Amino acid sequence: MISFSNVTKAYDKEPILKNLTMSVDRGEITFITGPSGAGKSTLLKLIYCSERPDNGKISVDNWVVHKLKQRAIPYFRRNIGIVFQDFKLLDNKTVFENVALALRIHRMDKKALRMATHNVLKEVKMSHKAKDYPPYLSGGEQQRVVVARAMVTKPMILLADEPTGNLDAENTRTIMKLFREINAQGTTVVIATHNEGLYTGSGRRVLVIKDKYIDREMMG
Amino acid sequence: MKIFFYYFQSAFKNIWREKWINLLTILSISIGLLILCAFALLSLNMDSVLRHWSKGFGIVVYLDEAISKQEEKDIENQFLNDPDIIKVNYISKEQALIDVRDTLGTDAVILDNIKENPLPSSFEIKLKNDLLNASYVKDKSSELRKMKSISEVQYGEQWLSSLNTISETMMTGAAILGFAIFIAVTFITYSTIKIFFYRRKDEVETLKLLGATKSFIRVPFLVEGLFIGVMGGILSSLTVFSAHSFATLRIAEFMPSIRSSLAILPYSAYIAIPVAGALMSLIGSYIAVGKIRY
Repeated sequence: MISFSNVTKAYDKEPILKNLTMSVDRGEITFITGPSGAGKSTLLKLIYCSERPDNGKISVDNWVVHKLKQRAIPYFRRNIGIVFQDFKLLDNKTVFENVALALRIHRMDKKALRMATHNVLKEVKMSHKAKDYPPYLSGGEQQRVVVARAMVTKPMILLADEPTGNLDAENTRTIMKLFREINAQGTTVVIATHNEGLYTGSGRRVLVIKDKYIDREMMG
Repeated sequence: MKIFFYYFQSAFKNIWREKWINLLTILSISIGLLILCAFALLSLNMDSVLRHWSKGFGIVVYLDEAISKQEEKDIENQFLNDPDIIKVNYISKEQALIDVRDTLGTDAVILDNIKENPLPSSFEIKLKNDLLNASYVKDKSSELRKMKSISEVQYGEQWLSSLNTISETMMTGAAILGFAIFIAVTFITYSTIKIFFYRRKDEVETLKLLGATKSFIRVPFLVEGLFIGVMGGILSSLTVFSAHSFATLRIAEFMPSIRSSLAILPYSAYIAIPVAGALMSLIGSYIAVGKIRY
């Protein structure tokens, strides 16, 4: 599903990833780990085409990502749900509007949009806060809204960049449970984290980035 | 259609959220357009005065002393068939003398000792209004001078040249001012939309990550710019209309003569002003949003 072949990415001529080769299969939950600054976020950015590789090939499903034209990027991104550590919710929109926005971009009709948004908010247990604005929510609640926004479009891939970085243990468990549920519905999940606790004992594949490439692969 | 509803809903929410800066921009645009309208009104009134003056403009064609009646008739027919000439008036030698006597009034006694009428017969011709420019009239006069049995051609060369200079100056002034206002209004909207765009930079980034197309991101900003321009134009139109109503109703009460000479903007201009404002603002907004890159 996701394939990197000899990918190199540098910032100001300083390579952060060098000749990185890896793949993620359809339906997997894969963890990308490594120390801070190892290039975990860059790897995710390369997947959703926010960064372009200097060398190498990247493909996601049938999309040749490294050759993707500007006008094709938004259509490509509609297949991907993204969860960030800093949430990236719009403060001037309600919880409902934030989640529905993803569906508006997909041009879903109003009735289906309402139903899908209410259903996904129910799944993440945020229905009661549908009319609230993000600044009035706790970190855990905000992250559940972000997960709802990422999963409402039923993407083929969900990328999470340090999704529990700002959360306490209980909220971390809730979010990870949600990721497992999303994965059970057929979505491939890739989680970048430096938190060992997230993958230890998970029984999922873990890719460790060290010295600018995938140093080793293990089971969590 | 639904997506357009979203664009408008999103734009108007943002307009309301930033109502004070929007109000200030609308006022600035309306002042700019108002200056343009004031100048247009001034030009219209000047043009009306110039047209009034030029109505009296004519070329006098003096005929040879020895011209026969048939030759006079031929020349008159030639003038009447000329598409550039709208009026031909024949003045005989006798009529010319009467006119001079009328002009001299009591001093006409000085003509009593003259035994033979020294004045030539002539034609006074009027050209079409749109041909009354100095170079054309000069060429026409030269052409007439070359005709057989014509001794002299006279017209107010200096006067016509001055009239043309005033008219050309007004036209150039209008073009320069129009361009300056165009730049100003475009820049005002550009600045406002640029501020909005920077304020909503995070929102734009999130939209990009969710897979929004360039038009999905851009259109609400363009709608905001369009609204600002249209409102500025409407405000300007309303001000001009009110000022005009005040001028015709109240000033004319004290100076009735002004009513007939007051040139007004055509009604289509009251629609053209908001349309112009919208167009200028749309250009400004488009430049402000700039190229969207993923």
